[in-house]
Amino acid sequence: MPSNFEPKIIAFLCNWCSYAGADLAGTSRLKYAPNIRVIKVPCTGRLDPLFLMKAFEVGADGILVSGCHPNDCHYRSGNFLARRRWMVFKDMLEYAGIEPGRIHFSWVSAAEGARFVEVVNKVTDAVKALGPFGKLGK
Amino acid sequence: MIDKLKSRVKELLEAKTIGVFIGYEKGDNPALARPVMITAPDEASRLIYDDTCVAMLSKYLLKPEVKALDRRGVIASYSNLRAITGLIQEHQLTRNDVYIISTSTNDKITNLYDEVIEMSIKDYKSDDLDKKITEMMKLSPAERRAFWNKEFSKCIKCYACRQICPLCYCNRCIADKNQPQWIPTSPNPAGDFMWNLTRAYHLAGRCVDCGECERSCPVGIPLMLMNKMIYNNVKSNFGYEAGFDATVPPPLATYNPEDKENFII
Repeated sequence: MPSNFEPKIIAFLCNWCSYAGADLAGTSRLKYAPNIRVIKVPCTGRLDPLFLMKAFEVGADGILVSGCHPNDCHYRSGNFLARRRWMVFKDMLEYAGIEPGRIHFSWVSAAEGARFVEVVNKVTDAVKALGPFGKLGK
Repeated sequence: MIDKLKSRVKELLEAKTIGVFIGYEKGDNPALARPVMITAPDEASRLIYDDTCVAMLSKYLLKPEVKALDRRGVIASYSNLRAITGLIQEHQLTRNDVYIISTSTNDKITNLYDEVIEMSIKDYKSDDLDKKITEMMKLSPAERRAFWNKEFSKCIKCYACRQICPLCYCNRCIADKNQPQWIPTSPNPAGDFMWNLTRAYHLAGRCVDCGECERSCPVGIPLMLMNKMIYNNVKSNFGYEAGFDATVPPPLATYNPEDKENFII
């Protein structure tokens, strides 16, 4: 693994909490690892697991999915439904040989700019330690 | 017992209790019986039922031309019963649409069949897969990835697994959509991986463990080795097995606020 490896991490952030949390981190001038590429989604419940696989297909080294804390969902149950899907999905990916450290899930509220920074740095460190993902299917 | 089946089907068609009966007849391939739709009472004599009768019949219940012949009768093995339960649960059928002759009584699936004519054939069993799955989990992620890459790279994108799967019934499959194209259509490494994992995940909490996808795969990908892992995972996470109860929602279409979330950072 090259020592200067900078992973590409796709961050799927929900419109109502985590995206606003990222915004707060920015307006608060907090510094965090520059490796994430943010994709805003209406709700984590909107995420088709296909999106996550597609991210790997097009060259992501890691993925972060972040939404509202339980009971804070704008649509009431989107994050609960998503949580169930992820439970099975992440185990399936692991079984298929994609290291569990490449895909992360978190809850970050709109008021948690500092927590967002912490999450992103943690995810970046974890993916960095794993090295490049390579090509899906290879 | 086959004579009993023939005479019952004849009676049911004569009485117009059913408009069509879906069963098996002898086909060109001696190892594989051919599914047949019987509409005339006299044709019931063509029916057979033996170890060559492996193809799932539940798939035919949803065909528009078969639906038009209401009411549909069917001979159902254990796997078929579970598939039909799944279809009722997902509102593709109502219980009243089908007249089911079960080949066995089963405590786990209650009230799903109209009558029983006991006939035993060898049914698909996935029990020995559990040991293989445990072995798989002992490998490193890189080894597992290499294993699945090797297996999936055999995929020729014939979609037989999808065509045969009793719970795959979308009129337009995600694999056929090209705007946007989520799943590459050509048999290339990324496309093979995307297709096979997507198919497996779509069956999470819905797979009735019939083994048809693996049987129909012309290149021998061990699809049930993937499906059974997800099956076991859903069972341990949500205590749910598909195909036994048509009255509860599928586990991934619902939630419990108390679901575990130890994987969330």
